[in-house]
This record gives sequence, structure tokens and C-alpha cells, in this order.
Amino acid sequence: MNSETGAAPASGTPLSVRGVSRRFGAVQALDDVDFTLEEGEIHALVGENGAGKSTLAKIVAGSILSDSGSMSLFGEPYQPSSRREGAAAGVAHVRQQLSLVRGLTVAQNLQLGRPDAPAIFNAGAARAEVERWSDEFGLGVPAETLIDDMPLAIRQQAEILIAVAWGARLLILDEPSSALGPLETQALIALCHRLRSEGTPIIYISHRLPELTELADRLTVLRAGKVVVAGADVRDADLREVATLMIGDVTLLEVDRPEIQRGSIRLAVSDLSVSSPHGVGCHGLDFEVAAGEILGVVGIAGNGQDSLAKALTGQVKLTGGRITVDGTDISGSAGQAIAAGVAHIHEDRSNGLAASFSVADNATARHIGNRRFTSFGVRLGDKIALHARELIERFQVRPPEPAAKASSLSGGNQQKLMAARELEQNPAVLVAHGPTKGLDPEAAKAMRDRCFAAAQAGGAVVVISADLDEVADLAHRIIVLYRGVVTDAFSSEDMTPERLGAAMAGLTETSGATGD
Amino acid sequence: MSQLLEATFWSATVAGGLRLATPLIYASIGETFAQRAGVLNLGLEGYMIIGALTSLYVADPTVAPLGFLAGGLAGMLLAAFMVLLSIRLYANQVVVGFGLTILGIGTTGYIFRVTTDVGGRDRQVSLPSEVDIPLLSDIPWLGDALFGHSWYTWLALGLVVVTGFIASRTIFGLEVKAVGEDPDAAAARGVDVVRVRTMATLMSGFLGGLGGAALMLGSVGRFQPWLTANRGFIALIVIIMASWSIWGAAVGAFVFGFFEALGFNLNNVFVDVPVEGLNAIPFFVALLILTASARWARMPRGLGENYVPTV
Amino acid sequence: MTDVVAGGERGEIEHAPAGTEERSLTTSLSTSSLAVLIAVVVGGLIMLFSGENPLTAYGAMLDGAFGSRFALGETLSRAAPLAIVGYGTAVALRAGLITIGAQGQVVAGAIGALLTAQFFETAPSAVAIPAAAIGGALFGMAWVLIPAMLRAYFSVNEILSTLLFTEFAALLIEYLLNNPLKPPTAITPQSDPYPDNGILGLVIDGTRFHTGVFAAVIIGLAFIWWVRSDRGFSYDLYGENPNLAQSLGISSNRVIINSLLISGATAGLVGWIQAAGLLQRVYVGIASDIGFFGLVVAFLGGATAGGVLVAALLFGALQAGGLAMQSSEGIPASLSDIIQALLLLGFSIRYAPQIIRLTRGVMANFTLVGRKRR
Repeated sequence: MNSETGAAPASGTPLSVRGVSRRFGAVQALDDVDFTLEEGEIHALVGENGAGKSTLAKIVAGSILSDSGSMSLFGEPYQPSSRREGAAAGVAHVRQQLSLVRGLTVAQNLQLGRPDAPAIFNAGAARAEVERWSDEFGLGVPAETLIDDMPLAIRQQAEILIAVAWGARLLILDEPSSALGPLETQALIALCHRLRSEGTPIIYISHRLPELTELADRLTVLRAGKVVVAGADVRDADLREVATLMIGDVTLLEVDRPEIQRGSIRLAVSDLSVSSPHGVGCHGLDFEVAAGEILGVVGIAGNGQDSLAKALTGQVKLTGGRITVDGTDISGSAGQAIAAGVAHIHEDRSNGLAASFSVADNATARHIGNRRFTSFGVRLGDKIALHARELIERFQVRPPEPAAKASSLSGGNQQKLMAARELEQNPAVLVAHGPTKGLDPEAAKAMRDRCFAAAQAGGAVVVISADLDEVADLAHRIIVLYRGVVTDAFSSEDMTPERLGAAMAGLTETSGATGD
Repeated sequence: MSQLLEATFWSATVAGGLRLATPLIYASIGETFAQRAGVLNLGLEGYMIIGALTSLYVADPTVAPLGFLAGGLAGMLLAAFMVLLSIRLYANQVVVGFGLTILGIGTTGYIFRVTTDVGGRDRQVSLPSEVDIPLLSDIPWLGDALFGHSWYTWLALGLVVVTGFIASRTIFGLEVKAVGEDPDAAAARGVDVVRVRTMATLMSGFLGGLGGAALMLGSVGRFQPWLTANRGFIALIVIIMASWSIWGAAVGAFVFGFFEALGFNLNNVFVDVPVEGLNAIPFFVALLILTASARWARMPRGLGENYVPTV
Repeated sequence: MTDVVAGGERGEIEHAPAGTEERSLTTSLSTSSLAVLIAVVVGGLIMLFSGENPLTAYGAMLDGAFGSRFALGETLSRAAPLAIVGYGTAVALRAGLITIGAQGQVVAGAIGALLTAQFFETAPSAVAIPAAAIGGALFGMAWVLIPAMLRAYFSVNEILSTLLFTEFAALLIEYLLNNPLKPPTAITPQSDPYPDNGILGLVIDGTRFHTGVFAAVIIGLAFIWWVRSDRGFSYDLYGENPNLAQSLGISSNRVIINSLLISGATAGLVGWIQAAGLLQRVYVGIASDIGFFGLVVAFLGGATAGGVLVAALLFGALQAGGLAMQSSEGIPASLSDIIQALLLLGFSIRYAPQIIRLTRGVMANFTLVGRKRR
């Protein structure tokens, strides 16, 4: 498995972690954790968001130091103080946010930061090396394409390929499947098995249990920084029990979908086209969403979701078609969209909040131009704070301080703050882009309930997400986006991994289907 | 009018353009490095002027090459403030850049006034002799345009080749681009972002200082307050037009120099047109280029944003 | 938006305890005095190296800034234009735009005020004075209109485009004062004397403290209104997070063009008070360094009403004192430029929380060319 740059042949247990702890401020991220990775295994490390999985991975990779505890790598004591040292020892960490440099090619990334790279960049040799590894594993990783221009799944393969080329003896994959479609996930699993058969042990971090039965050999469960299941055999594990152990309160994961009365059409999108300078845009989308209905829009990230979200909230000029809310045309005007009652949960919280503004200013930002809160054009701080206090109460934003900065809130509370701003009045249309992304189970449940409540109150809800579980939990009906085109549409009862996978990979004939 | 039809008018304008472009070439290739690494040096004007003054004050008692080198080092010294304040202490790059420009102009003005007695001897250096490259000057027409340049110009062109190679063919050049495009990912790949940005910024200070020195020793010969007259900012426009390519920056510097020379030379052709109008030509062209650049130029994604290491 | 977060690690949850405000105020005060101290000490060292006595020099400087009625008048008449430009620039800065074109807009405003005043030469002062003020403001706005539209519609960087317009203004005024506006008797480039009916009279005789200085007070009050207004809030929001602002229906083009026009209008007003009050004639160097230092004042003052005022007074005093020191002690007035630069650098470090908040917004909008990519 080792390339010519590889380290000495492996001997001893690939990785042994003993009593590792790490604290961030008030949070004990890891508490006396033991973990063992055996030869030739894929070891799943599972836990909810915030359980400490990524912290453990970073410590093993050398990105951060542990406060206490010890590690050994293939029988040798191992104490990396930087990621470079970790890489030199043969540990490769493929992170959630991939660490390939955008704006460079795969071949350039191969040589960047490589411990033994020569000072002169030999483009031909680097390209040949990428092609050689790509062929060996049967991957389609292009050597000279910019990272920006590659789909996520290929970027991930490229990063694994580079790790192997650098002589990795141990691979850590951090939430690799979270943004992939079913087909890409299958390919990833195959690649993992291939690497395992070549002798590279893998730590596979995930919070999604179902795929593990097919993929992994053993599993370790972390909860709030502690090991609750240590290296159990995956085949013997009861996934429901594991889920309970992961979360504690498994009811948080259960979705009770309320019965919702479907009403008349509120959102109508016809022949919608948007062009995007740095993305794929949208082309000829047609769909309608009725009162009380939740439409899921799925697709691998980067297939036009951003353009669709912006179009539905009036933020971009359309290149074709129109969008109406209760019969009013809102195309290309965020002001009109707001007036028509369109609410928007931004995908990226940092985009959806004014981080250095107060909670009160954020909660009431939709009231800009509302005379109720001004006198001679001057904002009335007291009235605004009072109103913000009501919203904070209703949406349970903690701490309940109108004067606190939005950036001082936790992720879950920031999401609640954004919901408080957008959902103060029952929206006619709610565009929720990745509403539960990155939230802990409790906050995620709260957001799901907000979406249901918006539908129950007669709103038309559009949930845009790359997370299939999220969409499956929420939506009544699903459309699939691929390169800005709808490739399939079906009701949620008809959703199967095969059908979804084919549509997300653009393998269906239908396009522009309405789904009714 | 008929002068416009003569080849010598144009060859003289091209030659003048190259001469005027020389300081800009130094400054813009250095700044290109810094900006490719994500560091915006609005202090370039300051680096240039401090380089100009230093080069004069060293070259006057000693020799020009020593003054030239000293000018580069002075620029680098000022750039060290940028490293300290922005790269190390995360101060906003725009604010620090303005501060360094004012500091450069103020300091040079102060030193100049303190050392120049009223009615006393003004420090000055004689301008360099021309160095003609044997074969090049024999080319018809083009030979005239390439004729009569000092070694500062030839060195600038040589540096374009060298730095162009460093930027595109070395691992360091790759690291520079990586930390400017995506510093977090570059750090994750094991690149020392702070180190690379520091080196690129110091390089920009050194080359900016050389640019000022080339202006002083190569074409002016004596100091006056705010000698550089916004050339540092023009270099920024040149870099945008070049879309952050070294070769492009050299070409862009020449384009600006050419129109500046054209403005001068047209004064002899259109004697009735106000001189101010003709002198506005290079700035007008710069505005057009700046506007049009959006069509092709691709800014390094991380430009202007400080890199704060995570955990 | 993964920029600097003041005083904490990125991504870490950080609950704001009660009393944060006071604490940051103390920190900001102590860092402010530290920055001032450093600037003064380094300035003193520079003088020592050049063989001057820093104590007498600083004494002369203080004396020239505050030591007499005349000195105070100098300080105020220098601080007022800085404050006015500072407030206008601060509006743009809060919206995430950095304009250094005030220099050219002051020139344009002076020309505009002079032409208007000449047009109303026979009108009563009650008409001529406001008319010239409006003329100056309109010319200042006109001078920033093209850069504003280029920024709004083509994402052309406003620092560089306004800089080019400053060059155009410099060439234009040189042409005008050498040709059409130059009185036949004049030797150096200059205009006719400013029409009497438009002159802003002196407040205190024997000083240069003219009534135009009060324009700074009016602009300051207007700025306070702006900062507290709903419109101002929406511009601030755009400066903090343009994506969010756009999603809330705030038009990006409107914010960009209007805030730059506001800054142009204030710079134009400064052209008017310099021509009608201080100099009573238009010269090539009428803008002095006001445009450039106005931006510095806005930065230093954290684009807040009080901060800009303090910074403008400080810079006014430094400049008046510097010139007095030059004439009495023979130490070049450039020393005050050095001290001003050091002040800006001292304040630029992250412990000045105001600037951090401000510049994060600026960087969210910053682009040299084209739309910002993420």
C-alpha cells in the first residue's frame, strides 16, 4: 500500500488512544477516551453533533493537542504537535470541510504541503502520479481540473487519493457521506473496502447509522465526550439501541409528523431560470406548493439549490419564468417577497444573521421601514427591545438578552433567532434551506417543529437540503435537482434510495416534471 | 498632426513608455506576489517613496547600485510593519496600508526638509548611462524603441522572468497562491500560512522600495515631497488588469507608461489642447481598464482577509 | 464571514456577560491612550535623531494648537473640514465602502461653490450663501457619481476609481485656474476673490475662525440622526452583512450609490467652506490633505459621532500645531503627518473594538474587482 514516499512497514496495533481528554472553555469535549483501531478494519466512530468525534479525529491527526492521555501508532508512541507531523507519521484526515485548496488543481494540491516535495514544481510528474493512483483505484479523478470545478464526491475521492499518494497508513474520514447522494455513497463504500483490502485501516466518522452495517466492522459510540460503546461488532449491534445510547433521549429523533390539511396553491413557480456566475443556476423549473404542504428539494450541494433559494426569496433577477405567491408576482424583488409573506431560513447562519448586531436588532430586522418602531425616522430602542423580548420568549432564544450580540449565541440559538426574525408572522411561503444542518438533536427537533407549524398555519413550505434524512423527515413531496434541472419528482411514500440516487446523479430521463 | 504618421514619434513614445513603466514594473510584480498570497498592501505608495529617498541618500555619497539596494531594504522595513500589524496582530489591511502610505510620505518629507537647508545644496545623483543590448538595438524600428534604456529597466525585465518562474513553477509559488485563495485549506495541508504571507509581503516591500529607487536613480535624480505621486496606487490597478499574473503586471505597467508618455508627447503635436487634458489620458485609460477588468480578472479569494489560525 | 471575532477564538461559543460594554470601553480607552503615547514617543525619538529637542518642539506644537485665541481658531478651522469629510466618509464606511476620493470632491465642491457664488453675485447673502453651499455639495456629489455607479453596476473598486477622479479633479482645477477662472492680473494660478456677498464671516476677529466651522456642528448632528435612523440602520446592516441585507429587501445598488453620494456631498460642502470662509479665493491646493485625512479621521473615530469629532479635533490640533512649530522652531510640519500615521497604525490593532466591527463589515464588501466570491 505504501507509495515510494511511505513510512516503514506497519507493525503493532495501528492506533491506540488511552485516556485522552480535551476541554474547550467550559465544554469538556473529550473525557478520558479510549479507542483502538485494529489492523485491516473499518472502525465507525459515531455520535451526535457535539459528541466529540471531530475533536478526537483532530487530536489523532495532530491538528489539536489533547490535554491529557497518550496515543501509540503501529506500536510506537505517538504525540503529533501539528497536522504536518501527523501526516509525516502516516495519519491522513479527510475532513468534513475538505482541505483541498480551491483555485488549484488536484496535481498542484498533491504537491502542496507534501513533506518531501522538491522546490521546483514538476507539473508533468504530478499529473502522472495523480493519473496513476486514479487508475489503480478505478476512480475518475482529473489531474488538471480546478478544485472549484469538481463535484463534491470527486473532490473527496481526490483528497483520499492524495492521502494515499502521500503514504497514509491510517485514514480518518470525517462525515464523508453527509453531502453525498446514494450512488456516491455506494462508490465511497466501495473505495473504503478496497483500501481496507489493501491493508489501510480506516476510522469512519458518522452520525448516520444505517450505512454502517454495510460499511464498517466495528463501532464506537461517543456521547458528550465519553465513550458509551467501545468497539462493538457492527453485525451484532442493535442500531436502535445504539441510537438510544448516542442521544440519550431517542424521542428527539422521532419525527411526529402532524396531520396537515392541504389547501389551495400558494407558491407557483413556472419555467424558472436563473443564471449564476459561479454556479450552475436553475433552468426551467416548474412546481407549485399548496397551503399546508412541505416540498422537499434534494440534490447534491452545488446543483442549483442556492440559485433556487435566492430566486424564491426575490434576491436575484430571473433570466426566465416567474414566481408568484398567492397570485402576486415576486420575481426578482426581495422587498415584494417579504411583503407577500416569504420567510427565509438561510443555509449558512453567518449569512442569515448580522453577527455583531444585537439580538434585538437581528430579531426585528424584518421591520425595517415599519413606522411602528420609528419616530421622525429614528429607531425607538425601547419599543424595539420590548418587541424583541416577546420574540425571544416565543422562540426560546437563550440567553434571553436583547442586548447580547448575535455572535455570542450558540449555533442552535442563532438558528432560533433567525427563525424568530423570519417566522414572527405566519409566513405565506417558508423557504428553509438546510434548517437543521449542524444542530444538536434538541435544536434540530425544535427547527423541524417550526417547519411543521408553518405548514399547519397554512403556509407553503419549501425545504431545500442535501441531507436526505432531513428531507425524508419533513417533506410530503420531493423534487430532485441536478445541474439546475428537476430530474425527478415523487411523493415521499415513493422515495427509494435507488430512485433518489438515479435522479441525484442525473440518470433519469424526466426533467422539468411537475410532480403532481 | 503629421508627426503622428512618423515612426519615430511612436518609437519614442514606446521607449518613453518603457522608461516610465520601469518603477511600476518593480512595484507591481512585488505587489502581485503579496496579493496572490492574500495580502493587500495599500502601503505600496509608502514603500516606493521611502525607497526613493533612501536610495538617493545612500547613492549620493556612495554608488548607485548600493543606493538601489538600500531603497529596496527600506521598503522592506516599512513592509515589516504590515507583517507585524496585519499578519501577526490581525489589524485590517486597508487601514494599515493607508497608515503606511501616510507614514512613508510623512517620514520622507520630514527627513528631506531636515536635511535640506534653505538655499543649501540639494542632494542629487546623475542619471545613469544607457545600456544597449547589442542585437536588440539593431532591429529596425523596435530597436529604436528598445534603445537608450538604463540598467534599471533591463533588471526590471529580468526580474519579471525570474519572479514569473517563481510564481508559476515552484512550490513556493504554489504555496503563495494557496494561502491567497484558501488559507484554511492550505493550512490544513500543512502550509505555514503566516510564514508564506510574511515572505510575500516582505518581497512586496523590497520590490516596492526598488521601484521607488528606480524612479529616483533612474529617471528623476533628486527628491521632492510626494515624489511618487500615486504610482503605488496605479500599480494596484495594473495588477487588477493583469488578473494577478506577473507577466501581465509587466505588460500592464508598460501600458500605463505608454499612455503617460503618449500624453506628454502629444503636447507637442496638439499645441492648442490644454496640457491638463492630455495629461489626463493615462488616468482615463486606467479607469477604462479598471472597469473592463471585471470581465477577465479573477481576484484571489482570500485577498484582504486576515488569516486567524483555528484553535 | 469567517473573519476576526474580537477577543475570542473563532467558532467558540462565547456568552456575553453583563458589563461587557463597560469593559470594552475601558480597554478601548486604555489602548487609545497607549496608541497616543506610542505616537508621541516615536515622534519625539525621530526629532531626537534629527537633532531637535522634542520637549521644545512639542511645547511649540501645543502652543500653536491651543496657546492663544489665534491658535484655537487655527485648530478649529482645520478640524471642521476634517470632521465634515470624516462624517461623510463614515456613512460610506459603515455601509462597507472605502472612499478616498474626498480629496477630489473637495476640489470639485470649491469650484462648484465659486461658480454658484459668482452666478449669485448680486443676490442678497441670504440667497447667495445657501446657494453656494448647495452648489458645492452638488459638485461634490457629481464628482463621485461615476465611481458610485461603477461600483454598483460593475463592482469597480471604489478606492481606486475615486483616486483616479482625484487626479482628474487636480488636473481640472489646474486648467481652470490657469485659464478661464484666472484673473488677468494674477501671476500664479488662482481664481478671482470669492464674491463678497457669499463670504462666511469671521466669528472672532484676529483669527481664522469663520462661521463655516459651524457647518461641522450641523453635519455632526445630521450624522447622529443618520446613525439612529431606520435608513441608517439598514445601511449599517448592509455594511455588516450584504447578503442578509439583500435578502431583507435592502437594495445593494441604492446603498452603494446613496452612501457614496452622501460622502461626496459632505466633501463638496468642505470645498465651499474653504473657498467661502477660510481662503476666500480658490487655489490649486485648496483641498490640502483634507480628503485623505478625513478618511483617516473616520477610521480612527470608528465611524461614530463622538469618535470622529475627537479624531478631527486631535488632527486639527496636530496640523495647526505642526505648522506653528515649523515656523517657530524650524522643525518640519511633516512631523505631524508622521504622528497621525502612527496614531492610525496604533489604533489599527485589533484591541480597538470599534474598528474591528467596522472593518469586518468593510471586508465583507471589499473587492478589488468583480463580485466577491465565497
